[in-house]
Order: sequence, then C-alpha cells, then structure tokens
Amino acid sequence: MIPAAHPALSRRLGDGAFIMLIASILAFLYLPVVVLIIFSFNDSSSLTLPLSGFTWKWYQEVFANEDLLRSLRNSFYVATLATALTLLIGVPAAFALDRLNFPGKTLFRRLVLLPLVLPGIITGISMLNLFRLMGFSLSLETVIIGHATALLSVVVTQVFARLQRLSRSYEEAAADLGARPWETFFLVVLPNIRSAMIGSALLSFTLSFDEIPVTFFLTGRDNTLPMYIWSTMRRGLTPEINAVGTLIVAASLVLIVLSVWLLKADEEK
Amino acid sequence: MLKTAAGSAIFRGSGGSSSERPGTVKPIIEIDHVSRIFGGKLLAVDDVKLDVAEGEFITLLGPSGCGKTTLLRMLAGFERPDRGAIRLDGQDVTGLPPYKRDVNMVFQDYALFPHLTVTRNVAFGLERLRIDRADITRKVEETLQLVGLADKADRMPHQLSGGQRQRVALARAIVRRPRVLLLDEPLSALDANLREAMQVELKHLHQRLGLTFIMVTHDQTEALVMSDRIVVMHKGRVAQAGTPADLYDRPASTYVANFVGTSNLLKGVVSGVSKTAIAVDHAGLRFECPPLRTVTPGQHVIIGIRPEKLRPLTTKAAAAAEINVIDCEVEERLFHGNSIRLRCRLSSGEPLLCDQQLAEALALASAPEKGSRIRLMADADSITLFTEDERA
Amino acid sequence: MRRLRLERLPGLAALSAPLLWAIVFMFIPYLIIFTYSFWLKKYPTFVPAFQFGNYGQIFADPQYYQVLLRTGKIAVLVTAAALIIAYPFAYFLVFKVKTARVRILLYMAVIAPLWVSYLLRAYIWKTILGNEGVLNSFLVWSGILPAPTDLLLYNQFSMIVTLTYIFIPFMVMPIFTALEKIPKSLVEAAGDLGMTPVRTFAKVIWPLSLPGVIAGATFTFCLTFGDFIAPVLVGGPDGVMIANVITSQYGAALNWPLGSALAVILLIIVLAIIELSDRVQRSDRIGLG
Repeated sequence: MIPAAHPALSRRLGDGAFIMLIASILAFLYLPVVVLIIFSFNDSSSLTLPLSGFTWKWYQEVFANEDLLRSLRNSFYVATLATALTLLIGVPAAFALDRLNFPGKTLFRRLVLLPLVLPGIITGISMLNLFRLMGFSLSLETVIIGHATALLSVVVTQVFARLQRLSRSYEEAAADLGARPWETFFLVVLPNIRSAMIGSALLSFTLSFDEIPVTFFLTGRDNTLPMYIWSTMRRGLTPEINAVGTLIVAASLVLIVLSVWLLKADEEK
Repeated sequence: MLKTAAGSAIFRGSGGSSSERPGTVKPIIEIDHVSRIFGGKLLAVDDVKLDVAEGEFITLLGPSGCGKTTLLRMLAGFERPDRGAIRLDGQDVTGLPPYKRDVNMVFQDYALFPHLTVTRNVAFGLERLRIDRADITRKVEETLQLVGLADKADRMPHQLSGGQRQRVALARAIVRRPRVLLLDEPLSALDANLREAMQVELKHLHQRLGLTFIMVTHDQTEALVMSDRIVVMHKGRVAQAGTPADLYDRPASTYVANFVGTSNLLKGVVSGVSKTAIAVDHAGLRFECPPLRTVTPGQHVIIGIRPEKLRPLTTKAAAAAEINVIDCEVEERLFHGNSIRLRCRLSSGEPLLCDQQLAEALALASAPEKGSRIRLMADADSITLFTEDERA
Repeated sequence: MRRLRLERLPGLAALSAPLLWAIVFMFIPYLIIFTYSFWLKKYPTFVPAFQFGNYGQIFADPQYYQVLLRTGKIAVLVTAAALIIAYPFAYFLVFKVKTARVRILLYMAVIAPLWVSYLLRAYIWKTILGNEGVLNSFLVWSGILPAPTDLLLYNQFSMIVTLTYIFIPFMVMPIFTALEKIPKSLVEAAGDLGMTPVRTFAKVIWPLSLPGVIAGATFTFCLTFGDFIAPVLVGGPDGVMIANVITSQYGAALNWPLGSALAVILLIIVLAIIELSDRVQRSDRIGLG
C-alpha cells in the first residue's frame, strides 16, 4: 500500500467512528422523546411492547381533564407575569452592571447570577421562609415572585452581553444630536437590545412553564402544569401523561422555531 | 440659516500660545487654559489655549495620544475639563451636557443608528428640536441632496458602503446647522482613492455652508489640503498653530518640521549674526538663513532643510558657490513615481534626503546614480533655524 | 460626579428597583435560612434559638452525612458521564463538520430536548427502564434476557442514566462555545509545526477548551447535587439525595431548622464549587481574551 494512503485511510475510519458516535448520542437523546410520542398514540394502558393499535383517546382525555386544563391556564398566567417581571427588573439590572459603579456591585452581581447555578430547592426554600415570615400565604402570586427571582439571571446575562457589544458611540451620537438620557434609552438603546430581550424573554417563559423545584415550595392551592403532572405521576403511570408530554413537545417545537425565526429577522439588520 | 464664510481675522499662533489682536471679532470658540487629567496622573490635554474664528476650518493634527481627540470630545461635551473653561459664542459651556450644546459631531465610526433608515438617522437631530414635520422632511431632503445621497434615503445603514455611511454621518451632523461642526478623523476609514475625493468634497461643503469646522486627524496631507489653520499637538500641548503654509515653511520646532512633511536636520553652531542673515557652521559647511530668530554666535542650533528644497548644482558657476552647499554621496535611490528620493550621506556622516521631481520624460535616466557624489544647494529662504530647546 | 445632575434622578431610581429586589428576595431569604438553621425543633413546630444542634445532628447521624456523600458521588459520576459524552459531540461539531448549516442544525438538535419538560424527560426513563417498560420488553422479546430485570430501575444506576441524559445538552453548550472560540489558525499552526492530531488536541485544543469544560461541569455538578426529582421518579431507597431529605424536613417532619441547616450546607458546598471553578478559570487564564 502507498504510505500516503495510510493516514488518509485511518483518518477516514476515525471520522466514520466519530459519525457513528454522534449518531448514537443523538439517538440516545431522542429515544425517550420518540418513545413518548409513540406511546401517546398507543391503545393500551401499559407501556410495554408490542404496540397495540393507534388511538386518539389519550388526547381526548387530556382535553376533557378539567384539573389539567386549569393547571395549564395557571401555568400561562404564572409564566407571563414572571417573564414580565424578569424583564422589568432584569433590564435595569443589566444596565446597572454595565454602566454604574456602586458599592456592593460585586455582591449584587453574584446574588443576581446565583440562581442560575443554584439548585432550585434553595431558592424555593429561602423564599418560602420569607413569605412565612412576612405572613403571606402561598398562592400563584408567590410562585410568580419565586420564578421571577430564579429566572432574573437569564435576562440579565443576555441583556448584559448585548449591552457590552453595543458601541457606546451610538449613545454619544444621540446625545450629540440633542437627545436627553431618557430619549437616548428609549430611541436608541432599547431598539438595539431588542433581540436579546426577546430571546431571553422567550427562554424565561419556557423555563417558567417547566419550573419545578421553586414552584414545589411556593405553590398554594392552585397548581401549575408541572405540579399537576408531578402529582399524577406520584399516583402511578398513565398514558394520558404521554399525550400531555407530546403536546408539550409540539408546543416547544413551535416556540423554538418562532424564536429562531425572530432572532434571525433581528440579526439580519 | 446659511451663513456666508466669515472673513474674520485669522489668528497667528506659535509655540503654544495664541494672541488676540485688540479690536477684532470675538472668536466662536474659546479654549481657555483647558487641561484633562486621566487617573490623577496622565495629562491628556495640558493647558491648551486656543481661539477659533467663526467660519474657520481648523484641524487638530498630531499622532495618537497627543490629546487631539480628548480636546475634541471636550468641545462636544463627552469629556469634562479638569481645569480651564470652554466658551461658545462667549458663553461658558464647560459644564453643559452634549445635548444642550449647539455643536454636532461626525464620529470616527460614523455611529449611524443601525435600526433607523438614512432619512430617520438624519432627521433624528431635528426631531429633538420639536419643529414642524414638514420642515423636518424638507431639511432632510435638502441635506441628503447636498451630500449626494438623495436616492439612498430609505436604505438602512448596513446596506451602504463605507463612503456612503460617512456621508450620512455628515448629513446628520450638519442638518441642524450647528454653530460648530466637529469631525473626528472623518476620512480614516475610507480607501485611499476615496479619501482624496472626500477631502475636496469636505472643503467645498465647508465653503458652501459657512459653518465653523473643527477636525481631528493624524494625516498631515488631509490637514494641509483642507484647513484654513492647523494646530499641531504634541503630548497634550499645542506645538504650533498657523496656516498650512506657515507650518510648512516656518515650522516652530523640529517636531513640527518632521510631523508636517519631512525635514533634514543638521546640528550646527552659529558663526555669525547680521541684519540680513544668520550664519551657521556644520562640519565645515557654511549655511546662511534669514534672521528670524534671536541667536548669539557660538550657540548650538539645528538647521532644517526640506528634501525638495535641495537642488543638484549643474552649471560651473553655481558649482563655485560656497554658501548653502552640500557635498554628499548617493547611497540609495527610491522611486516614488512622480519623484525620486535620494538618500545621501555627508562626509560628516550625517544622512540627507533629497527629493527631485521627475517632470520630464526619461528624467529618471538622468538622475544621479547610486554611489555618485553630488553637490546640492538650497536657497537661504528655504533654510529654517531651530534652537535647542524647541526639540521637544 | 462633581455635581448631581437633576436629570439623572429618574435613571438612578429605575436602577434601584433591581437592587431592592435582590436585597428583599435574594439576600434576606438567605439570611433567614441561615438564622433558622440555629433554631430548635420543638413539638409541634420549632422555636427561635441559637444552638448548633442541627449541624451536630447532620455530622453525627450517618443517616444524614451518608446522604451527603452519596449525593456527592452521584453528582461526580453524572458530571463525568455527561462530560465524556458531550465533549466528543462538541468537538465533532466544531472541528469535523464543515458546513455551518449542518453545524447549527446538529447544535439545535442537541439543545432541543432542553425545551421539553424536565419532568417528562425524567419520567420517560421510568417508562423505559421499568419492569414492564420498553427496554425490558425489548430485551425479553429479542431473547437477550429470559425475564424482565429489576436491575434497571429504582437504583443509583437509573438515576445516573437519567441525570446524565438531562445534563448532556448543558455540557455541550459551554464546551461548544469554548471550542468555537479557538482560532483555526492556532490549530493549523500546530499542524504546520509537525504536531500530530493527538498532540494538537492535548497541547492546544484541550487547554483552550477548559473554561467551557469547567463551566459545564460546575453547572452540572451543582444542579445534580441539588436535584430531588430524579430520586423520586427513578431512584430507589438507596438513591435518596440531600434535596429529598431537605424536602421531607420541610414537609411532614416539620423540622424547618434541620431542613435549613441542611440547606445551608448544600448552599455552602455549591458556593464553594462555584468559587473554585471561578478561581481555576481566572488563574488558568491561557488568555484568549
């Protein structure tokens, strides 16, 4: 064999092995999702092979389930308000970190970014204690505050990163042309951090929808969707869950496509 | 609101101070002993005093770090002087934020708002004035016509070329007809060919609008071509201020002599002073120059001669001359297209540059060869004298 | 600021809201937990006190410190497993995939599962690994096993599989970002200087990807350490983690002081890991910027 062929051949084999590895990783990642979807249409109460016939009945049960639908509505309510709060608090926080120097800035930054890596249970428990101390009873509203606190870092990191990349000369140009600080903020800065705000808002919404540890400790009488699923899971497996899961997958897919499309449109500028 | 070019008195300056002749028009900008210190130690701008006349096109020229950009930003309001005051039309604006000053700036990176169209960009400043919509539209259209971008009105900045963006930045800054227009290295991002065309265009714009232009650049050609007056800066101080011709023909220091153009510098000793000339001796060579400075015999000085002012001697009579004559050997010939630069060496060991225009066809062939000995001569008027302490 | 400009006030006021929020909802709650950890459990609930009994209990009673050790072990295993799977994936994406389109597609493919509910993804493993689950029925049907096995579920193995599955995307993201940042010219220069691909990896690529690895590992470790869902769904009696203990103290046991003490310990461990990873990242500045 020509000596030159050796490195090429071994590289080919190496690449081939690599591709197989990647394929198996992807298969591993998607296997559960595929199983979920398949069994949501499976006409059987048990989750074993072989498959019985095709059925829509689990989906029908989902839509007939009042408790589930109510929890879904609650989740929307919570996610929307929590996301709004993260934006209202997070955007100014990102600004403060980017522009100002104040005593305690490092501590502030650490505090805000902490919930990102901190297990939700800590955030949940600490806020539970706070609400107990303040005499507030647990409700969807306490959940909202909990989510907002936990998800603040999502908005802060994204907006902060975008602000860092935003050339200071835009704001100087605006001021030079007669814009007061507020006008500069709303007319020049805000439109340019839009993509970061939208992206982080969508991420925040999704995370809030799926949030469990913090919600677990702060839920009152009303359940969010994850809490509802959690309680049904404790009681035993039902294929209905598969249907819910598949619906969530479909909705997530739509959201992903939406956000990518929105981000693309924004980046095109 | 168009003002005609003001014919107000031009202020002559030298060595860092500027004088005001009594009875002349009040300057539009007064920079009154302004200093800016960074970090408590770095003197970015060191006690600068400068007056700018209305309608002037003045350029702050110097290398990076000389303080020119900091000074410009203080005029705009983005930096605050640590010492001294800045006055616009006689009013103290030192503490005023940028949005309260009737001054507009063309930024080095143009800073066009990426989310607005060309029209909206240009209209931005007018909208802050809360004037009539119809007025705004009219002024924006006029200004876009002026800079030649009327057909790009609805484009977004990222769709424009570098030169086009620069014009939008210009339009945006002049549409409000500010008292003073500041330009921060406006041509540095453009291609070489475009730059030359824009130099002329900017000059025409200045003449047409009659506004006061203050420009910052490190490119001396730009400064020479466009300015009514140049202020050369060095380490935060004004090295010299004057017309382009002033600076070129009568540099006040060796620094200016070598920043604006190139100059040969030879150390010498004053051998005689008279009413008509100062005589200087350099390694046996005798130079005579006009008595523009006060020196004493025996004083150590520096002779400056620009490369293009040295001519090779051709006739026998000229060859017999003894004053302002240099014998040297050609070490290198550098072809510059329309001229040739001879790198020579004197018998004293000093290097010398001599530029010769290649005005006629085949002139290159008749230019002095490498290794040949030549005799060069300069007119007394082309010789500048520097005293030691101006070396800075 | 030499003169407080009046017009800056509204801006400063707006910036104070996040500060206030951080103090009320982040700083104070942590203080409260800390305080509670010194309180005393007294039937039926608990009373203020200042005593180290709770901490003593944790370190003396094997029931508690063993849980801590077990949690640590599982977190380390999950982090290692996720790293081993995620790194080659990220490497492949950055260095082997030639077209940007395919790269983005594959990247999204690995990230996409994140958007599917965490609960459901953990739940599915229960489905797959269970006695009557998919994997068992497949193994029996294909003849590999004579009967369904109990070994797959309700133990530490199932928890590690589930948690690794959850955290692979979280590992891929920072490693991918770090690998992407490596200038191609560096890799080419290494090859040009005669380094084999293996040496190039060891000397150039791996060290430069370290910040991403550390970020991903920290994230995975900390979140795994504090997880209480996987143990409930797929863990068994020997799979109880520290978060479950805390939860039960806050639940039926109504022993908030003990729960708080455990939470404080969890907090300290996590903070220590974060600080450690920060230090390593800072000192190891094989600066790319």
